Amino acid sequence: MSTGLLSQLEAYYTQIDGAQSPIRPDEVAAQVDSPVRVMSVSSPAEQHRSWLVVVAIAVVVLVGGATWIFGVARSDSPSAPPPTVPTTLDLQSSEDPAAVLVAYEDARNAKDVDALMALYADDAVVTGHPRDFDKLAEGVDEIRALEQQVPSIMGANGFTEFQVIEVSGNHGDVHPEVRGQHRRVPHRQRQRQQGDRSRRQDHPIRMGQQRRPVQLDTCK
Amino acid sequence: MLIPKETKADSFTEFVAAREKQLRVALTAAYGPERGREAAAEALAYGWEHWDRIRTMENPAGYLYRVAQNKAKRFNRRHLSMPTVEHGHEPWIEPALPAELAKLPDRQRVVVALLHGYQWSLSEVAQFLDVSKSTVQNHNERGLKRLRTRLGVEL
Repeated sequence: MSTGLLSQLEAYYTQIDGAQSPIRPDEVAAQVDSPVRVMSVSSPAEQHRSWLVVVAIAVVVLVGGATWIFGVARSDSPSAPPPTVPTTLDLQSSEDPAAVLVAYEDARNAKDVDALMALYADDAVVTGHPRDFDKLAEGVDEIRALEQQVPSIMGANGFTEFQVIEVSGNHGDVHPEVRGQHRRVPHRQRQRQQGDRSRRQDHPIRMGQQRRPVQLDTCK
Repeated sequence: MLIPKETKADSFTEFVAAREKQLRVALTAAYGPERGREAAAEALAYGWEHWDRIRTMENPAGYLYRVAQNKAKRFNRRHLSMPTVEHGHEPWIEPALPAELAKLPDRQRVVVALLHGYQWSLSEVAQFLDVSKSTVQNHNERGLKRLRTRLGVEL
């Protein structure tokens, strides 16, 4: 009846091991807060929507930062909706999502509302960040009204730069940086004036895994 | 240095295939089957998120083991429970063995389990835990001595 301790240990852990299943990749993915688990999007419509959310997040961060930096939040209209902006881009005009984001950045800094609106689909929906934030505007009319508020918030010389544009599959993330009035010409614009596009063209498309994922199921 | 997604995924998949069991059993030895498995899954998720950095390490599995230890701090050490022995098991196992294993210090339990439960070599345990062989040997001897005393097993 008596068995050596080492044999008992071996038998006991064999019993445990037999009852334990290996960790499946989907279990790992379920723990990961990164885009790798939301990449199985194939239809153009879904790709379209994902970029809408990306841009919405970028714009909300941008406008929030601008408001904070310039301190121009209007005290006389405390109940006004957050100066957030659009979300939905018409990607049909471009194959490259990063190019769309760059176009968005350019239009934003040029304070060209018409150019911005040209990037929106007719049924665009603007939401805030995080993704479960309330819907802020829907349709081109409401979005245009929101867009028109942004220049006054950013100030005459305020502009933003998308320091990093990360593209992973059909997901992307931008990291806007709001600049103050001490710089008159945005860095990208200055590059463009100098005819040096190499930096943008060579800009790495990073497979960002540390960023908050864009969840498509919350898209309108 | 940015790694193409496919390369990264392939590399990580290879790592998981090779080291998942190693990580899982070590954490099972430390925290029991359920919590150990959960901690291993969390550690692998962390590994994926930081794979660019971790893949260059000398001992990625050992690093993830320590990551899992940090993540497992939320577990209440006093409520560590090891599964009971199945009836009619051959060879016979002391019914009190799981409880006595749970009472061992973590490091002693892990070493004893890896060496005698999962048949790792002394070198493998030492490398995985990033300690010297003599340290592993000391933990092993103390753990076995304590188990033998409490269980009344001579061998």
